[in-house]
Amino acid sequence: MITLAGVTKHYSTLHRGSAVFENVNLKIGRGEFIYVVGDSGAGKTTLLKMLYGEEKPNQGKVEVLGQDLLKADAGRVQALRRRMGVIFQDLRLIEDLSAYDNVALSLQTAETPLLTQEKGSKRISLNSYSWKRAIDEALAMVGAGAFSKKKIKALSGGERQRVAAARAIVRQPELLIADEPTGSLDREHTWNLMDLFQKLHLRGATVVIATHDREIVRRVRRRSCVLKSGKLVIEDGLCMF
Amino acid sequence: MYVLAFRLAAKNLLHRPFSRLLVVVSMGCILLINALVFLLFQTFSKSLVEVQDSRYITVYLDGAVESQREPEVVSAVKKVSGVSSAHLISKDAFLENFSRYFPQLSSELATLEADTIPRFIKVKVAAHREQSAQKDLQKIKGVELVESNKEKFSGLIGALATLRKFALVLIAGMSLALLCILLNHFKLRTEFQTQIRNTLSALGARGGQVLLPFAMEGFLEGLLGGGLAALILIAYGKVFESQLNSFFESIGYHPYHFELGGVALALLVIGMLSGMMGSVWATFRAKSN
Repeated sequence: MITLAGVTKHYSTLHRGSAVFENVNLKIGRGEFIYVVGDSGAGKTTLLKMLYGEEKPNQGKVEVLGQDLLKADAGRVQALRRRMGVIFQDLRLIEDLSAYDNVALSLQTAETPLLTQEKGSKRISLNSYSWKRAIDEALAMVGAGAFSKKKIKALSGGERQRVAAARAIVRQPELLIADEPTGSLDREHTWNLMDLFQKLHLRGATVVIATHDREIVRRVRRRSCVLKSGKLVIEDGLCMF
Repeated sequence: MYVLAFRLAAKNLLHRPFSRLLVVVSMGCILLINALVFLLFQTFSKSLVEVQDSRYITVYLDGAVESQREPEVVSAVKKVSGVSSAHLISKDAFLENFSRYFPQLSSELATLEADTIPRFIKVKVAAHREQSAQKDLQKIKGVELVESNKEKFSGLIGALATLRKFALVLIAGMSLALLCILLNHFKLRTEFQTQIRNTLSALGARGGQVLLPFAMEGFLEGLLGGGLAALILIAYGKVFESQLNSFFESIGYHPYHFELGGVALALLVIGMLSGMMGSVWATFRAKSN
């Protein structure tokens, strides 16, 4: 599902000492649930950005959902993103649209097999009723149903984060990437969201979560990797370095 | 996607409202000026055709030609290369015409001897064959004199042709100005527009899906600009056209009538298309950078 082989990333060719990673190797299988843990500035976000094609490594190979991202053109990267659900660290919500519209936008640009439970593996297109139902359900699942009609600019940090989560899960993606998804949430909403990720994982999705919250990692025990000084360190599982 | 794209486009329009208003008004004015210049162009074109149609060669018959030989001369004239029509104006027809246009002089003319009244053939010739036809006509037996009214109209034809070209240049220049205004306007993206583009791109939207809200935004802005121009043109047609026409008619000029509804519709379509293309181009450029 995901392969990082000999990945090196630095932002300046003149200062190679400022490398974010040095020769990172990582394999994530289909249907895995994995944490990428590390302190602030450890490079978690950069690693995740490589998975959805926003950053390219200076060296090495990044393969996601069977696509070599170094060789992929912009169109292929976009096609890959349509199969994923991403919770961005900076959320990337459209401020002047409502929570509902932001989630709808995600559904409209998606290319994921929705409603597969009822129809097996056959892909069906949503009619307007099931479309609305899917969005309402996603918002309700993250506890954002009450403010679905409110504009993003009128929401608090925690509320925005929940909308961003709804936007990622509404697609029922094959791969869910979440960058600090609980950073602005209170404990109750944090555990609700973690439950949701687990449900998604049980349905077959691969889940990659970057977090600095070690309590989450301890409580919801899964395979985890730690980024430290530009190296990926095994903590609890199969990471290589 | 269309509903959401429309919503995004409408919200985009409400950002920087003063600048939007300025662009819409400028667009409306330029389109309106273009429409008026286009109407002038049409007027010049129609006048040119009319003036060119008024050019003819007069072939005067020799006094010795008997009236029964007149059709013979006419058929010889028709055979000359470049001649498209030839009509004999007999003495009687000339008198009838003369008395119709100058009734106060008809009695004086009647006193003249019949022989002093000319018989002539009015000949229409293709413009490029005029000179050679004139020479050939002169050679026909029974022809006394060949005269062309070319000089009388050549100045007017030249002036109309120049005015037509000038109108075209003006339309092209104004269109270019409109294009520059639109491209420059759409290049100045707001933070909100950048946010939309980046978010859609991060969600994996296809090129067309990213461009759609901006295409709609340009479409709406163009619709407003084109609509403004069309509205003013229709208002002119309803309120001033008949008054202006009656004024022109009172001074002996008969203005051409144009279907303003069609021109207004064209303004609307041109406004929408240019707005849409300007916005899409600017977004495409911003996306590539």
